[in-house]
Amino acid sequence: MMQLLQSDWQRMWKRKKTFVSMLIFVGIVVLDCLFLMMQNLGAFDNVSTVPLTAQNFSLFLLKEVSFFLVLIIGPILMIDSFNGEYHGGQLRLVLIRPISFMKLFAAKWINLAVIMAMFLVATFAIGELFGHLFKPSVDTVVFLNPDRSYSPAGAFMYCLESYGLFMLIILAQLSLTGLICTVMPSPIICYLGWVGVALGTVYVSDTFSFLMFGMSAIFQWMAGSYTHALLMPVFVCMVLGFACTMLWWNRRNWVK
Amino acid sequence: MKVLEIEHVTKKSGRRTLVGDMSFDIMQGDVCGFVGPNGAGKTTLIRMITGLIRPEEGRIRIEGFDVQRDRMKALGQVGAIVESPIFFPYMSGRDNLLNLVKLHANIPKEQRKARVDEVLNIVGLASRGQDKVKTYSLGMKQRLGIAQALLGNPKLIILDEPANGLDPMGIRELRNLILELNEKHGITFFVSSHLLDELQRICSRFVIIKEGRLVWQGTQEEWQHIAGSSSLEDHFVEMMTS
Repeated sequence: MMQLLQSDWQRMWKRKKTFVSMLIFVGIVVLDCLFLMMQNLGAFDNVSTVPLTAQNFSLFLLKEVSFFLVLIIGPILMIDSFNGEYHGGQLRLVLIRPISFMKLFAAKWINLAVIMAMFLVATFAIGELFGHLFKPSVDTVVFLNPDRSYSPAGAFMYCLESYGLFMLIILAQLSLTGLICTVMPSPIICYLGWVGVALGTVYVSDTFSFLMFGMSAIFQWMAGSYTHALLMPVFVCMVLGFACTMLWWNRRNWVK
Repeated sequence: MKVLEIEHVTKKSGRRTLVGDMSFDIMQGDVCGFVGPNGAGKTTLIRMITGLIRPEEGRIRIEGFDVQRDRMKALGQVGAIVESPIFFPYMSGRDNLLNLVKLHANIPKEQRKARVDEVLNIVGLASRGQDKVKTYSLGMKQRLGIAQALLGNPKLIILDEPANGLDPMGIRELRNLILELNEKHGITFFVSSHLLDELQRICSRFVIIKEGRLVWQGTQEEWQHIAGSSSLEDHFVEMMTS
């Protein structure tokens, strides 16, 4: 398994899209930091705002970059790893080796999860750094729920927990995108398929709206005002998407 | 000893039979030509042998291991080029092989680099191993394809249309390489090609298929015997049109 992980990790970094995605992401994070530095208030939604401080800067930075991570960078990396390599023909040289298809899928999924976690860690670190360099530190921090206030250490943990929840949403997204990549034939159709699924869930049920509006769901969840289950649907998407894709990989015909 | 056993293998696509009830064996040390017109089912059968697609019926065994049930052990005995080998163009030939050699559990970590250098040497690419694949000619890419097929010390190498796009020099190099690997290393070859003249120069046996069905199999001498005064090419055309 470790050999599969290493081999896929190396191939992932040899693909142009991985580097381009990383550069775009760094650019977006820096631009968002500059944008937030010019603001005095951080907005949870159209109504609720709080003063932007060193202690909540990284949370609002995540809100700004979350759209790009879920709708652009995550799907692009996933589609490139699954469909791009398959349609390009390079995956065939891997598939004819004495390896398990299920382990190969698991290796790809784990590597993508690791790279997305790296993006999130980088965002958190940059957010904390910018916040402490350019925003005032305060002794008491309030988030969406005005009745709950936090010390700087409590606010740090609050932000960390929010990032953790967002990572779970990304994992759910990876599992669903993996399933779409396995079912849909071409990378472009795959991407449109993922956008369709993410948008469609908003209309189907509010329970799955976290796929499209992840940060909004996290803000409300952390404030205790989220009216739906969050963790259960996230885990359902993650586990079901992963399991279905894994089974499909084991049964499918690799005709390309 | 049988290296490859195809037993009543059938593959369908909807109502169309791509490969129908096909059976034949390849013995150790054979260089076997796999011949048939376009759409006869050659690539489909090769995909089944390499585990890329599943047969609806029948069994495929490599060195006695069932490709479906014992995939890891079966494919551990095989190296293959299915259609054209596609590498990462921005990686060097050596780096491409170093990436793929990690997928062979039978090669210990400390021996991987040596194995890659060894196969590059065998296919005559040692001096160009550090160059990026995008700078390689078609012939060099094909040799790199054979190098990747050799990585796991296979007993059987399957080549699907290996001469496609090669110039006469490239075809000659490939032919010499196959013969050398067969004679010096005892590797069995199963080669699909349209170039019957070329196959005649290297193959001891032939398997001929048409519309997914086995038409004839046997040694080159046996084929020459039944062809009589006709050339093998003329006899092949006759078989395909009858």
